[in-house]
Amino acid sequence: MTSRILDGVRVVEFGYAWAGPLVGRMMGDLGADVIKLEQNTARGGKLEASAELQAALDDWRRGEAVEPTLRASVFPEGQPGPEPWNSAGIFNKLNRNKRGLCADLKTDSGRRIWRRLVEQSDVIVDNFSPRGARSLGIDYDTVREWNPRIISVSCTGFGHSGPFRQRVSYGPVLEAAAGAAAATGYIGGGPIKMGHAFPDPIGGLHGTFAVLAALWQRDATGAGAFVDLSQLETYAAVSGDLLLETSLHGQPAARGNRARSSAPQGVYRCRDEQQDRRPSLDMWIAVTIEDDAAWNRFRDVVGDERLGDRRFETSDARITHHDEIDQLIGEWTRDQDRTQLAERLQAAEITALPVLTNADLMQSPQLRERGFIVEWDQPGVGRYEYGGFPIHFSGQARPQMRPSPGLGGDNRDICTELGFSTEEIAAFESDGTLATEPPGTGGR
Amino acid sequence: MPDPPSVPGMAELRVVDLSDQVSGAYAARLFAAAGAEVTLVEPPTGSALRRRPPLLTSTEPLRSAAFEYLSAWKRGVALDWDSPPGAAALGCLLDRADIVISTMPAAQALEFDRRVRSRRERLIHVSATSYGLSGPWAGWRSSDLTDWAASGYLYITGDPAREPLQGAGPWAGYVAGVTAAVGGMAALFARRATGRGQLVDVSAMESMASSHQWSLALWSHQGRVKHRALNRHAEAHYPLNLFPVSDGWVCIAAPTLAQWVNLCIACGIPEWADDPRFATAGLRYDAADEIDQRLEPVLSQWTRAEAAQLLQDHHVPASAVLSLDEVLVDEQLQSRAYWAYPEALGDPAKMPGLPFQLPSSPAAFRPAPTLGEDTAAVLSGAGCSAAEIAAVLESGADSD
Repeated sequence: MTSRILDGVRVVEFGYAWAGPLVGRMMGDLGADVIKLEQNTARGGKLEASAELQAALDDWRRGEAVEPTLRASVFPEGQPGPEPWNSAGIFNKLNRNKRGLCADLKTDSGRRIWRRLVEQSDVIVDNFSPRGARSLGIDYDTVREWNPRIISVSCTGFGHSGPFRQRVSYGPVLEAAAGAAAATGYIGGGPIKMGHAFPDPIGGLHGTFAVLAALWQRDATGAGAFVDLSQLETYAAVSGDLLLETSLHGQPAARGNRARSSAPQGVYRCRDEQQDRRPSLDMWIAVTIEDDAAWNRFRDVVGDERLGDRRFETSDARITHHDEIDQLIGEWTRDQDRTQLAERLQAAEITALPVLTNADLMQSPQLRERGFIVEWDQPGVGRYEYGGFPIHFSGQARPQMRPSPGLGGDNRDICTELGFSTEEIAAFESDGTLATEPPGTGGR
Repeated sequence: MPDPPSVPGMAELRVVDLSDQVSGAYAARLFAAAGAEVTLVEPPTGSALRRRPPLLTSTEPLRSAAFEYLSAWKRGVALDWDSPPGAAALGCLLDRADIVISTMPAAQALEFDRRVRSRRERLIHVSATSYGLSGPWAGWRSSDLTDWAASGYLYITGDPAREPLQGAGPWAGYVAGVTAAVGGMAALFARRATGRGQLVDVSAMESMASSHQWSLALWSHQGRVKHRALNRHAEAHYPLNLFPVSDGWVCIAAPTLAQWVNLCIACGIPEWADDPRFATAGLRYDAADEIDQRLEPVLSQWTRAEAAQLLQDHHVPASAVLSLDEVLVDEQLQSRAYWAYPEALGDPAKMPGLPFQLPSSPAAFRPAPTLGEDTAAVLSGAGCSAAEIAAVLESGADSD
């Protein structure tokens, strides 16, 4: 059966960074026709292949730190190639299953293209600030006049109203504003933010659900909708239980890796491993003991009579003596292989898992057997593996993975579908309304 | 696409929620937030979520903050589906349902799926688990902490000199929940075309793995392992960090050149704005210690609010690091009517209401149901007879 559940739905994704483009990627994976609309500055400028850059590449091959500009973009093998704006892994992993349109909306021609896009689409997703959206003419008041059935989803940091509506943000800023950074931390330590900009995927996933629900409702009523999606609000929503608790009892103290009401639970150092060019990496196992029965099973596996201390018999007592227990567990795990250890503990019905690195995820038998890791041949880049689609439908094939579009890579096809003539499209190209390269790179 | 005649709206969708984990419960809450009719079905002893910490001591008996939050807008039915009358009543609810959401372990979920969908061609079953319904780990045990470990987020969060650190909440479960809700909606669209329901299999591990920023591509493209970097945003974006100020911390995120220049101006160090040593985000990352040493004395003159306002006035993304107590009285959220007030939990109980406002979203707040609060009304609405309802209530009392 086809994987294209949303066949016939057209989405214009005018997004930057991560949250807006993630909505587009989810819709594209589900089979919608997603047009990624970009300004010609969206992917940065041209990198000069300087002597310093070459030297840095040699360093990288020797296993030293990648030259920072290359590092940020995740170029394949550290090589930006002739069109670096099209070869960044950080971009390509997020923009598969979309078509690329690069147009300057501030010109008269650009306004004509935009209007036809609105008229012939079902959904517009953006993550501009309210001020930015209005200055580009992409705000809902404008587009609803052209297509009253349009679903317009605006994924801003703080929302379209309120005293902070014009504030600018990235994910980590919203972690701070939502209380999540202050709630996360080592015992007795300061605030900690997540290793990636976590509010972005949370905002993007909520945005995807909102798009689908709004489309469903539109098909019943015929009426379009504007969805004012605040990433701050979706991020605070995943702390709803903590916020409710805080409203009654004050903020709970940071608890490191411990559980709320059972012990022990922690992350324990295991034998180091080599995973990349570095000589060794710190490796860890996560263990949760939910109750006394699990504790007894765990003691049997460890076989350290010190864990049989009567002071550790009940969960409350183990909470009191958590540091001491952690010390003993850490001694036991320190020289063991984390994967074998997790398998042994799971076989004994104890909750344990290796703390996975990015390398582990990409090589995970669990993810591979389920077909989560995917591969595609990205033009100008080559065949590389990526994380795939996280939803498995028993009645549909896995989504096909079409490469991310080059900047403006589908300009002509899309403009032709919108009803522009070959002559008009040629004029858009010559007057700079349509582009396929960042500014300042000249002709080739 | 012309509208098919009389397509049901969100309010006409019926969701049966059998979840006793955060993931499925949050997926069902999202359907309720979009206006669907959601019925939580629990055993007569109550969902395991009702015992999930943190427990609130403002009520007797103690109630779970997680349950009260996750079950808002749902109707509550208590029945023993291992008893004949309970099984018949659940069957009656599923006959009328569009979607059933479960968080059972893999083997049970597959058995349940065979049983309920073989007789109901249009029913969609959304399963949310830690590892998914197939693969070598499908039967493995999990916790909030191991969900973090499986997600790849644990290894990259925290202090590089210490152990990796989990997030404060069961956020991997929430991410699986939103992903499951997306899967449920998509299956509804698929059913419109095929007339058939299906099994939607979502795992926390994959939902989180697909919520990585660049680290999976970093491995496949460059063979590098991503590390944790305390509050810096490894490996190439700077300044992006939490900085100490006079009354706590601010988060500043100024990775672009324009933001860096504005930050330098706002902080009174304009000579750094065009210093070639700091010309790219990556160069600034490698000079982060030097930048921090220069910025911190300047920032420490200000409070969190002053620093955030000044930097925002210069178009630099920044926020005070707020405690959860402060978030509860934050003027931005307050001004957007974000909060819901579950009065039964006592004053001043407060929690997030709808995460987004859709045309179909419910107008008024509905608190989580007490155990079995709507059993008789829901079963009666589903066409069960008075005798059948009495039998369900009776069998529930037996197993208590």
